[in-house]
Amino acid sequence: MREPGVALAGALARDEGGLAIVTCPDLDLRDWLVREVESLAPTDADPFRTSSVADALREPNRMALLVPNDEAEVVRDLDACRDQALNPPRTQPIVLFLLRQGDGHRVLATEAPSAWSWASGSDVDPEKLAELDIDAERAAFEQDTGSAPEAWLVPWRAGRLPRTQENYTQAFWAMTLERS
Amino acid sequence: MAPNWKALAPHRPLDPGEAGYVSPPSGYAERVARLVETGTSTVLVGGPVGVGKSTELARIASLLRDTRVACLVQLDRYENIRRLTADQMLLRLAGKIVEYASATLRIRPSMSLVAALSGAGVASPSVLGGMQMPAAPFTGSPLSLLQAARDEVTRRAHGLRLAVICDGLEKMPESAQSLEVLATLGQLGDDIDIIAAVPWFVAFGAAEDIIRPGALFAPVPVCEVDGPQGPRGCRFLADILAERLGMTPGALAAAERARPGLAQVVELARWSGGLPRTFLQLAADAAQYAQIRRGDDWPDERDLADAVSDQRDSFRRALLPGDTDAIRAVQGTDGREMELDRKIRLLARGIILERQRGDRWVMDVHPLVLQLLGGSRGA
Repeated sequence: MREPGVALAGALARDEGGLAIVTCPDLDLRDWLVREVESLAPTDADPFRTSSVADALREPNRMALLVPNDEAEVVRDLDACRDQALNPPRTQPIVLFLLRQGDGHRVLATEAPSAWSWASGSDVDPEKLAELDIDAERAAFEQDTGSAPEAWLVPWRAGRLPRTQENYTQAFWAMTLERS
Repeated sequence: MAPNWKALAPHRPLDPGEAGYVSPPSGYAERVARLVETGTSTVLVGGPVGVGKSTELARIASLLRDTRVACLVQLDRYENIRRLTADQMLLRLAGKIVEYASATLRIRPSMSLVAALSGAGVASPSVLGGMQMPAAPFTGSPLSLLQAARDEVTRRAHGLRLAVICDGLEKMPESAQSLEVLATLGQLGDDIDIIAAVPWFVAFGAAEDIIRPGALFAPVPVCEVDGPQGPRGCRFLADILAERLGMTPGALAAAERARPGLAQVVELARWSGGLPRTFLQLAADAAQYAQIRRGDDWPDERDLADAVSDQRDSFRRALLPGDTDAIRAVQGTDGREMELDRKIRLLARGIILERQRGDRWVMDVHPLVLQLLGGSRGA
C-alpha cells in the first residue's frame, strides 16, 4: 500500500524543479493542504504562494505553491510554458493544487498533454487519506517509531529532530494521524 | 558509491552536443539528418509526450552542423506557446540564429543587425556584449529581420545552407493563430531547411501541407519493450538510465545482480511502454520510495510496484468517458476507425502507441492503461 504521506513527500522531492499536483477534495481542504505542504517544505525550499504561472516561473529557486483562481487557465499556461522551467533550470518544484472534480483536471485530460506528462506519477490524490483506518495506522505508527503521533510531534515541533527527508515524511504522517 | 537519482531529471531533454546521448533502436536522428542532407527540406516531427522529441531534435542539430548552419530554437523556453504569434516566432528565430552564429560559428554579427534585433527585444546578452548601439537602428518587419539575419549569417558562413530546428511548437493548441504560425514557418524560403516539432493535429488532415507542400511528417517511434524486438528497447532504456546516473551499463547491471530483490531495470522498461520519460519517472519515483522508507540507495520490488501505481493513477485520470471501449476496439488495428479527436488526445499522451510491425502500423495500448482495462501487460 502507498502511504499518503510517503506518496506526497515523494512527489515533492523526486524531481528537482518538477511539477507536483496535489488533488484536493474541496476548497476548504485545499487551504489545509496548502498549509500542510508549506509546513513540510524544507527550509531551503523557501516556499511561496501564488496564483500565477508567470510568478511561479520567475522564482526557480523557491518552491512555488500554485493555488489557482482559474484552474483551467493555469493548466493551459503550464502546458504552454513547461520548458521555461529549464531556462534557467529550476531547483525547486512547482506544486499545483487542483480540485478533484475541477476544471484543472479536466483540462489536463483534454487539452494539456505536456503538463500532464510533466506531472505524471507526481500527482497525489489525498482521497486515500479519507479511506484510512486511523486506529490501525496509529498502531502501525507507534510500532514503527515507538511513540504515539502526538508524542512524536513534540520534539519535531520544538526543532529537536533533524530536518531529514525521512523525518519530514514522518511528520506529515504524524500530523495526519494526530488527534486534536 | 551511491547513485544520484536526482540526476535522472525525467523532464529534462539533452541539449545539442551534451554528453549522455543514447541512440534509440530506430536511429531516428541519424535518419532524419540523412534525409535533410539529401534534399528533404521540411521534416515535421511528431510523437507522444515523453518519447524524446526534444532530445532527438537536439541530436539532429548536432548531426547537421558539418553541412549546415544548424540552429536549434527551443521556442518553448522563451515563449508562452499558447499565445505565440507568427511575428513573435520570426523575431525569436532571428535572435537565435544570430546568437548561434556568434557562439558556435564565431561569426561576429554586424552592429546594424544586432541593433535591429536589440530594438525588437530579441538580441541575446552574449551578442550585445559591449556594443555601442546606433542612435537610430534599422527597423523592419519581423520577416525582414529574419531574412536579414539569415542572409548575413549564411554569407559569412561561406554559403552554408541554414537549417532551423524548431522545438516547442507541438504544444500549440488547434486554433487559427496556430495555423498562421505554421504557415509563416513555411514562408521562410526554400533555401532554409525546417525541422520542426508539430502538434498532432498537423498529422491528420490538411494542416500538414500548410507549412510546405510535400512536407514529411516523421513521428519519433516508441521503442518496443516486449516481443522479439523488446530486448533492444530495454537495453536502450537501461543505457539512458546508466548515462543519467553516471554509471557504465555494466556497473548498473552488476549493482542489480549484487542484491536480490532489487527492482529490475527490465521491469521498469516494460512498464514504461518504451517511453523514456515514463521510464525515468518510474525509476525516480521508485528510488524516492526507497529513500523515504528505508534510507536505501536502491529501490526494491515494493518500491517499483508503488511507482507503477502512481503512474497508473496518472493514466487513469487522463481517461475520459468512452475511452475504455474505444481503446479496446482500436488495439491491434491501424486506428482508422477511431474518432479523430479522441485518437489525437490518446496518441498525444501515449495512452495508445502507434508502432510499426513489419510493413504495417498498429495501435498498441500502453501497458499501464492495459492493466487499468483489466488486461495483462504484453498481451
